[in-house]
Amino acid sequence: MIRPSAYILIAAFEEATVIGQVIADCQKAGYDHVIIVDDGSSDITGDIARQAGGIVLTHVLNCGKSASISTGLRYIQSLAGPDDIVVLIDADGQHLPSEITLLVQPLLTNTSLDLTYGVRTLTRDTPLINRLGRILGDWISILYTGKRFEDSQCGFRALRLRTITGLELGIDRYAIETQMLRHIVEHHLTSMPVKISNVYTSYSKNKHHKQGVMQGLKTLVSLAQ
Amino acid sequence: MSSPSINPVLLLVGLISLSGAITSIRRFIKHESGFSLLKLIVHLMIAGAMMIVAWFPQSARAATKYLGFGENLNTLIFVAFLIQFVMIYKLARTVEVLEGRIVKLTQKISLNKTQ
Repeated sequence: MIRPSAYILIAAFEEATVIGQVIADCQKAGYDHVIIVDDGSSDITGDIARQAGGIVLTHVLNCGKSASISTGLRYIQSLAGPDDIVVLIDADGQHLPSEITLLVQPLLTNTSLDLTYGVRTLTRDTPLINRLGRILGDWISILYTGKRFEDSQCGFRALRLRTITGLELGIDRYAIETQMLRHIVEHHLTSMPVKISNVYTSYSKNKHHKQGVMQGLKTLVSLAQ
Repeated sequence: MSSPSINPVLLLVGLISLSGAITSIRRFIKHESGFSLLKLIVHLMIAGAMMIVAWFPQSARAATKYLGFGENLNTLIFVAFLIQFVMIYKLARTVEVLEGRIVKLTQKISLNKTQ
């Protein structure tokens, strides 16, 4: 399989422990253009990302995942053309960079395809709270987009830059995944699910700043507005 | 039949409210920064309600009857809750707008630094 060129975009907040490895794995998979948005981390996330060879954009304040992705996309838009591909991947290592090609390849072979999104495989290791969160997220997504997307909250995606033209990302911290899917539906764009692995490391399970119930409710309210 | 006596405290409350309403109108006319039409309306509504209740106490009884409450105090509590909810909503909205502006500014700084 040909290893295609794509921009990798990572929103990172206090991920100094794992960000270096994630960037190294992306490069190992053949993707050298790694852009990291350091979202106001108080640790050395930005420094480690820079040392690992990534291009680092720094938010002086913590603004949330949606805002970070938005900043990164705007930066990439200034470098790349509308048909170029951007891959969104989480910074905590729960997505495997070795699977980026699974998402990118369909976009390269089918030029009319706009977005591929990862669908995490449920295993016995998947925590119950994550299973329930996924079911709830999918239902919210159906209400918001009018269409069923399997694993609608998965942040591992590949898209053409043209896909996001006119997409105004809200300021809510975690609404980006659903907003993007709604944009796809509203503009009659094409998308394709891709099965990916589901990695739950002890690090990602114990992260203190992951989305909680209150943040979930806030996201729900923000989407309803 | 004796003429109704004027309660000096209520008279004072009414006068303070009237003065507050006049000040608000003056601030709006002067185009004072941040003093929007909505703010003027809210100020006039609060000052006006205080004046009416202070100078015409029987109006509180009429309002209580109209709203279906047994006691004047219940009406007061109800109205106070209502005003608080409106204020909380307004505050939350303001915080949200400010948050949006801060995010946009942060993004702009980040992009300017990198490019």
